[in-house]
Amino acid sequence: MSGLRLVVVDDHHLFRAGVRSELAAHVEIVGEAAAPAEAIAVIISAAPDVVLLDVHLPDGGGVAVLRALADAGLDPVPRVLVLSVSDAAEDVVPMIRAGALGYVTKTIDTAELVGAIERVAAGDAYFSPRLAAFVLQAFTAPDAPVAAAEDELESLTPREREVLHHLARGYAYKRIGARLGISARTVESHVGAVLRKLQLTSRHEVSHWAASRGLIGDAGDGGEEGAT
Amino acid sequence: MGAAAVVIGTPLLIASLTRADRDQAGSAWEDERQRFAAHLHDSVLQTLALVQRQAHDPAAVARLARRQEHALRAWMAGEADLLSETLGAALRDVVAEVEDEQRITIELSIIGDRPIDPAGEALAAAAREALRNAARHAAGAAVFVFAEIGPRGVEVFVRDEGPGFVFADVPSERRGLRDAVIGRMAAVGGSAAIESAPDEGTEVALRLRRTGAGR
Repeated sequence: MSGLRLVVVDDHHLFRAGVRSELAAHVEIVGEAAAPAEAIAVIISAAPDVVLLDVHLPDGGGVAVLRALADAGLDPVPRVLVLSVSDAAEDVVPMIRAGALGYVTKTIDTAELVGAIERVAAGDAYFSPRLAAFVLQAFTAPDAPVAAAEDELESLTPREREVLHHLARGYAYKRIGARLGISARTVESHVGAVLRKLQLTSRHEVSHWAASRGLIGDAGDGGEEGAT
Repeated sequence: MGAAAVVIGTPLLIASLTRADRDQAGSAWEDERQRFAAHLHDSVLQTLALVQRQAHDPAAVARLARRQEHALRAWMAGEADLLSETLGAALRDVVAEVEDEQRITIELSIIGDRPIDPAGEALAAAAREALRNAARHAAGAAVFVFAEIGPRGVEVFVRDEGPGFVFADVPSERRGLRDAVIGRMAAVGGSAAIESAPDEGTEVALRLRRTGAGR
């Protein structure tokens, strides 16, 4: 048991129950919620170390939760790990841009999930192989002729690309460090730098993914069609 | 548990993703997708029925769920392998096939795509052998496939976190890896590199330079 305190936000009751029993030996689950408004109330009162947040929720989706948390001015800021069945870029990228520190899919095994929770709890980014691949793609795709080279947010450094490439191939931080001759901590800081670029870049490929979820540009009504 | 939630959650995802898909398609393609969607709904219902009937056999349930998950993900990503005519689709097929056959889970990430050609077919076949090899020699370990399909060529990495090996000590039955993977790639002008060390897992890198068919 790491002693970490967790809130789980997911509209599938069965899934929450599953996560609870899976994680019971590793973390303390201090709250659950099925929709954004409820989630925000639970998070504010329970002040967890990490929030496990689903993408597809009624009333605005996970993005609405992230936005409300950003607006709430909490201190410390709750750290969010996204856990979703979707691994589509249109779902992943807006969540990261709205402030999540990591993204994993629901097929992840328990040990990996606990590892991701611990990493996010420490304030570090957690990229699944799939997310690393998306990010590489976004920063590789030929952008509209931006004044790109000028702006370091628009591109990855060769080292950052190398780190992401290894993450996409499934290497753990320690191995990446050993292969590149740098410390695991330095690998972590490269991933953190990529996360910030992903959040701040105006690259077309990234903004497009974000816009497709109503995160930027659109009417800003939350844009989620989550109600079923 | 995760598998069951995946099946339960899918109708929601279908509903939320169709809009984005519509925007990027011509109408013939759209017809094809509609047909595929109908087929998919049918297959989801069948899978759910089978899951109920085989509830006593968790391994069978997990396998059914996994197969269905593959079909749905391919469709949701707008990459539906309607006819498996791209390299990405062929790789997805190979991964699904080996998962079923070897009863393992493989984490697959693909960026880019291009139409399939003989070199691509050889690469997919080489990837299949590398995956089978990983399943056999790294039982229970995590297996990853990362494919980068770009204008300058294709790179596919098949990696397992199994025990690894020293190449010089490869027992003769494992020479299959050399023929089936290295031989296949060489025959189409590509290359295969195998990197392994005890306790470090094994990674097979398959590479194709740009050919006439790829762009």
